[in-house]
Amino acid sequence: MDYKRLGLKVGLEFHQRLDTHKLFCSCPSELQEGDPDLVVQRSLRPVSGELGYMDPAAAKEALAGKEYKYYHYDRASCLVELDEEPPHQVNQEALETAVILSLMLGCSIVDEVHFMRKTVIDGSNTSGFQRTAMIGHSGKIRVNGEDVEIKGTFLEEEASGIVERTASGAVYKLDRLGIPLIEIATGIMEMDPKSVQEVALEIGKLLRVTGRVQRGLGTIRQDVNISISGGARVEVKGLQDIRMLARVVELEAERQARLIKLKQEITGRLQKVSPRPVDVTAYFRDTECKFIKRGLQKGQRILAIVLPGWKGVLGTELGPGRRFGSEVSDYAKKAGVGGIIHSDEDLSKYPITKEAEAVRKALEMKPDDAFVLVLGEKEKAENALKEAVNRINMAFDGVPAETRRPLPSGATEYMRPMAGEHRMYPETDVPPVMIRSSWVDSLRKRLPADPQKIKDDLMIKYGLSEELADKMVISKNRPLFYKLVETGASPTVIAVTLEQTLKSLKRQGVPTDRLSEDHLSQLFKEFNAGLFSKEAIPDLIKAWSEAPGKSLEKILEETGLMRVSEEEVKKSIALLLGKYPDLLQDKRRAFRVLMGELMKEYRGRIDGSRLSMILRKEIGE
Amino acid sequence: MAEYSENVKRVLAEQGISVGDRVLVERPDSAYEGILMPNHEFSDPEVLIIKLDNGYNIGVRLVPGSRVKKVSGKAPQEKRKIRLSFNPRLPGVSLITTGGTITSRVDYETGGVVSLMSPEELLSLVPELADIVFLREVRNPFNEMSEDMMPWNWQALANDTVKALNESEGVIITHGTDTLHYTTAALSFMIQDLPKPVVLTGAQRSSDRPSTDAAMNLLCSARIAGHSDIAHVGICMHASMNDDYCNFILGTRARKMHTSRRDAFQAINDTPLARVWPSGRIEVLKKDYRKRTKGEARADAVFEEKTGLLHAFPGSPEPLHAMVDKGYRGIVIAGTGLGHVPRPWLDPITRAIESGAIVCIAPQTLYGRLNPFVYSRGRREYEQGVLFLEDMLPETAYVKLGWLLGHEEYTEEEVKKKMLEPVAGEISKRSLPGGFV
Repeated sequence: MDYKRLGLKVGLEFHQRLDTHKLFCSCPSELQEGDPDLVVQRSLRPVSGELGYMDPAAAKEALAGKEYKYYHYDRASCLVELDEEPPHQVNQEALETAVILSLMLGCSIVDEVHFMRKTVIDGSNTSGFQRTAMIGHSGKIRVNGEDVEIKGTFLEEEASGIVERTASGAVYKLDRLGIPLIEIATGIMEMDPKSVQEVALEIGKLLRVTGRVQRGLGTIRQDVNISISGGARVEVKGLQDIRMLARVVELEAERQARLIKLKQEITGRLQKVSPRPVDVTAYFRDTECKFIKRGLQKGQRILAIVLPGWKGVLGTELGPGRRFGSEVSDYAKKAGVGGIIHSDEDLSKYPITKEAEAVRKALEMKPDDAFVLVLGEKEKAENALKEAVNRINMAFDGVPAETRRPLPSGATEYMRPMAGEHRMYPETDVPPVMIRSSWVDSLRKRLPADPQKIKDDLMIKYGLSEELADKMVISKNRPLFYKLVETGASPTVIAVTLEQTLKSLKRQGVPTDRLSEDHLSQLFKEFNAGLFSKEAIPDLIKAWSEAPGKSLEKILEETGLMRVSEEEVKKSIALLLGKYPDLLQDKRRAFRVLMGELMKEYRGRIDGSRLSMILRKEIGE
Repeated sequence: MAEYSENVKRVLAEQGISVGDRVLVERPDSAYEGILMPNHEFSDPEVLIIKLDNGYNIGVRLVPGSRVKKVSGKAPQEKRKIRLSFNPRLPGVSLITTGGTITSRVDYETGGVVSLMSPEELLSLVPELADIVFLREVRNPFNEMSEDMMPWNWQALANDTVKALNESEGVIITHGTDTLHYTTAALSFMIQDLPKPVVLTGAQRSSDRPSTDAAMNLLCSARIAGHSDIAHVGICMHASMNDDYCNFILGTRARKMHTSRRDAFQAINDTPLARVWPSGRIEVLKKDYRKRTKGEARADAVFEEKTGLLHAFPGSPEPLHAMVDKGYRGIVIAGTGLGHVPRPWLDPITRAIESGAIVCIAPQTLYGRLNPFVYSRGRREYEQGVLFLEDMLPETAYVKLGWLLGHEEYTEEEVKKKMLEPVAGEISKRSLPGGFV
């Protein structure tokens, strides 16, 4: 697809959790499992008609009668998260990280940081607002020879994690609330989806190269703003996997293009639909469709609307597994029904082919008419059809401005209408933080190097393979790696130990955390001195982790992993040759057999290459 | 508000720029455009606070070579008219606002400072009030944060409350929380023949936040003031950290026991009078409360200002000497344990009593009852003529002593006698196992 001609515009917003304690209290930023220590129940209300971007009436409706429950864990939340204590002063480490990242993104740093309250009304914050501050602006990074504008960087609080939505509100966990996030907003990028993904990967790398961000699922999220000419700005919220980004952008661009085409096709040919639902429950009395049967038993109704001449429109494909009918269904679901059934679907899958025929007849539908059915309590079903008709008629406008949620396929589904600008108010409980230029200058001098430079360095100066170098660039262990290299031991062995051995041992349940940097430093010093082979390292680490108080000497002695001397190997060879005197007649076979025997004997105590060298010499191959 | 530097002041004055104007700050390295916000107390004198178009405030330093230009004047603000319609068939209740967090909010126009909400604004926060009571009038005798509340404020408030009370079914008073329990104690003594509920309430989270506790506190207060038959002065605020129900606590037994929690107010040596839900359910916990009557309340708003409250502490009793030197007529000492002071404190106590002052001891522990006869120190204090105030809260004791001493017609002996007799439930003869943390 020619994205330039399509007029594709993309903007990215990153939200990355920082690896430090919470932003406005001293709770650790650790997620919790299991039963909460306390459950607190709250409600929120719109205040003085000043609910930021929301229309006060809408806000009232959004909050009225809603009840939120919050799970508190002594380990990870305190009175601050419970909104029972004012915020403490801002976490200095988080602020420093935010400044470092802003500088790495070429931003200017504000002279004074002012935290704001951004109203959130879904209950995900106990206070009803998120604290957020602008740290940097007017930045620029270069990716693949192109400049990418960084509009701003922000330091803010993570929201609570949702446990479940309930009929009257929602249940949230407070462990996540208040974890420091850095938000990075790029300018508008006019490039193809693959290049957008490369920009994202590059920013992701910058984040990790600091060694100061959290890793793992959910610790980074992207919001992606996408539009094409003639389309509308659509925000895809909460994308977790950067590698899905190009696909999401591609599919959204395609969806918008198809919606624009659909608009052209129906304009002038079709009329707007009016929401006049008809109760068609009677035609489903004997249905074999299980979910309809269950619904009817509970007293639910089936309502229908007729779309004159609309045959085929709802079936228009917009993306993988997504048709225009899916969009309509997303809207209907907001009214609390399970979705819609429409006439462009294969109705035999439900199966309701017969019932649908009866409905068509009863409603005197023409062959090119379409229908939409909704199952639900009468009022809900009516509202759902209203929403559905609302979306159907939006087809005449092309692309609605929406906030959407990514699906596993890379397609997206409707979440809510696009929010306007948030109105923000000062967080009066947090004093402004003066940013001294001398501090910024000192941070600027100590900025992590450019990831590409680090990688080149690792490959050229330290001889790491490209694969290892890629891992090491973004590894938290990189500072330790540089330290351990000073022992003189092979950088590759050190990198493998840090990035593979330690991680896999930890996965197996070995308490490797008990080993300090000093332990590792000693290990590689002795390795470099030739006390043991590299094959012995995993077993040594395992044994030492179990008894970190012992000396390495003692561990070597207990494990018997001390490297064997050449003399000893030679003796063993002589002994084996004495045992199998005929062996030397075929030297190649002799080498194979002896190598096998010796490896068995000295596993981990000698390098394979060194052993083979000695053996070859001894048997004269 | 911190002062701008002379340089910043001059630049702003030259350009005729004031808070709320849209300004352009051009610096050698960058330019910023936005609305000029008021300076912050902790801001650097060289820094302007600008609200950018993305809604964020940032501080911009006027480095050498900077220029500030006025882009446009202050945008006109829409004033929203708030109209409240009340149903006169509902119980008529008066509202008295006095200041405090419950009527504080961020100033939306300037975006910075805390301002006071008008009563209408406060009520627009809880429009449901109109379904509970008929709000007859809103009085606002003064606006003080409660840390600034002085005894004369109590007197003014008592007089206003009596007037309001005699024209309605009950009174709701909004008040800062810091000294709320002093005020409720004062009103408990200064309003005599109380025939109706006087409900004081406040907020631990300001009313401009979606999570404010003010709303439920006001709704529950309205339930008590308009619909209960409990004729007491009391505090009605959150019973727990949940937004489910409030406690209504007797005014002389309530105390702020937490700096910030919603349920900061607790009944000490007592159970709350009642639990009250915003939906209207009222569960009376103390059966022997005074019932609503037809009579009129009477103000008895006097106070002797030469009254003081002092914590006994391990150390020199200089502060107590100072009070004697200043001619204090009434001194309440929050004593340790069963009612003790360190040995060096006996001397100034003797001086005080000899100078004609009344010296009382109340429990520093807050919970529990004093007893002078268990240890020799208590016996010694008792012999000196110190009054042991049983289970009375120190703050309540201070207010009561000042109020009694304000009655010039009372002899010293009468004041002493009345100190030990219950006037508004502040002292009791029996200690029950409930009423402790």
